[in-house]
Amino acid sequence: MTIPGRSYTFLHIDDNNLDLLITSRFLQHAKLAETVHTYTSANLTLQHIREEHFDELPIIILLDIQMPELNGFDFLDRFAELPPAVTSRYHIYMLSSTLDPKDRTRVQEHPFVIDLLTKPLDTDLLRTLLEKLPD
Amino acid sequence: MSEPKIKVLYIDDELHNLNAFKAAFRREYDILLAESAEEGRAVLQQQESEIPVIISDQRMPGETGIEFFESIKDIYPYSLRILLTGYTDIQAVISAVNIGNIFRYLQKPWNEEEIHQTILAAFEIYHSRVQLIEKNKELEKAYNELDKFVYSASHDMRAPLMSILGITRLARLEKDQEPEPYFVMIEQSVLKLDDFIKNIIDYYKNNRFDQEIKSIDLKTLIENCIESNRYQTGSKEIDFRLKVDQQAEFKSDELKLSIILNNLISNAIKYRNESANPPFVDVSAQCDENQAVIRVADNGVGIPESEIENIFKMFYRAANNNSGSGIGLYIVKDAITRLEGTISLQSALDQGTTFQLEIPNKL
Repeated sequence: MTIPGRSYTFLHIDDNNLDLLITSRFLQHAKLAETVHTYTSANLTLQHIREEHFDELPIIILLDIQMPELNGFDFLDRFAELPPAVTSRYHIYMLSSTLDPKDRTRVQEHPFVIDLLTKPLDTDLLRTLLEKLPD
Repeated sequence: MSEPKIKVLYIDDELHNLNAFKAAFRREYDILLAESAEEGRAVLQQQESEIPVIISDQRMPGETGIEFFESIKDIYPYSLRILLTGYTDIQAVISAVNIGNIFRYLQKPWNEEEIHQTILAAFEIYHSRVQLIEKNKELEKAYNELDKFVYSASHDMRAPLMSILGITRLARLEKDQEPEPYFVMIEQSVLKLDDFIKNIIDYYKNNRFDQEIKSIDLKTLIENCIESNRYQTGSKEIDFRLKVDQQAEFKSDELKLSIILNNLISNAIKYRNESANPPFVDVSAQCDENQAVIRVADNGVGIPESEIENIFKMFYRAANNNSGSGIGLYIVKDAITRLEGTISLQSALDQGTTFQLEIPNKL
């Protein structure tokens, strides 16, 4: 059961600091976020997930696609190797400014991604999607 | 410099014919001989590139000329095959054309003039076949770049715009706040987009315009490049150092050289180390009649060793920050190649990077 006006813990991964700031503020204004952990490196995020830094449930991941070093899809590949007990705690949405249909197809085909959201984040749409999540 | 001689392989089971052929044509062509089809194949295999013209006798023990041609035509598709025979055998002619896919059918005893004309005509076809392949490769490269460009453009040009859209919406939500921070953020995004557009223009300038070799005053050129980077974020903190030792007149393509230096200087500023005291960009140039050696050194954040081999690739971004588009060094590399020069670099994390250019003097 979803409680109306519920807020979540977010991990937001984006190499652009400005976009991290903008999205975090949107989440706060919409009262969707309990906490937003921001990352400019997907590697560091993975490390924190592996080390189980987060004990809240569930955790929403907002993931950019084009990033240096580890891009969004590389992140997903590594994430998929983690044990199901870990991965099941996270719900992943891609958040990107991409217009490339190939990216959309890849997202749709990926078992770990719920949807591709476009920047700037539409918090009303995100709320609707989050309310559909199984409890 | 004279053109290398056209390579011609001649196969005949009669030694006398082979010797006569070599004696008649060796001045004009690079003649290779074989006494049988099998030996012919061995000669072909030893070559680094295809032999443009292959002439073979028809009637040979073991394997006929037509059978030989049939067996090699898929392995050496660009070579031109010519059948030489003393017999007027209509069936052989038909087979030669249909099976051996030959270019010409010549009769023995040969007429020297006819052989010359045939070899030259065959070589012309061979030459245009090879050119076509090269052109195709170039086109394929251009097509791949375009493909990458379209993909990247959807990100690199749209991302800053979407940031600005986000900031605008945020400002509307936070009406009671001071406006200045929003302007700062918008400015940052606009500069980033502008940087990308300038790079794209450089890339096309570099690609489209022909070389324009003229005399260059290196000091003025470098000063102008530093000057045009003065307004870049972080530029005010930088201590710019310049040393030019120009011993001779230097001729090269000024536009390409300034594209290269602009990119390297801009990167040195972009990837400065904030904690360095002070961050510097040191440009030095030495020039004699042979070449100019230009070094752009900084004490910035440096490049991790694992990334060095990738940094010249298109749209590759090594640094984990938001200022690079990943096209600058690709353009640099491309421009250097066009100037027939070389670029090398040394880098250490948190200590700095030095790029060294060696550009030939086109005096």
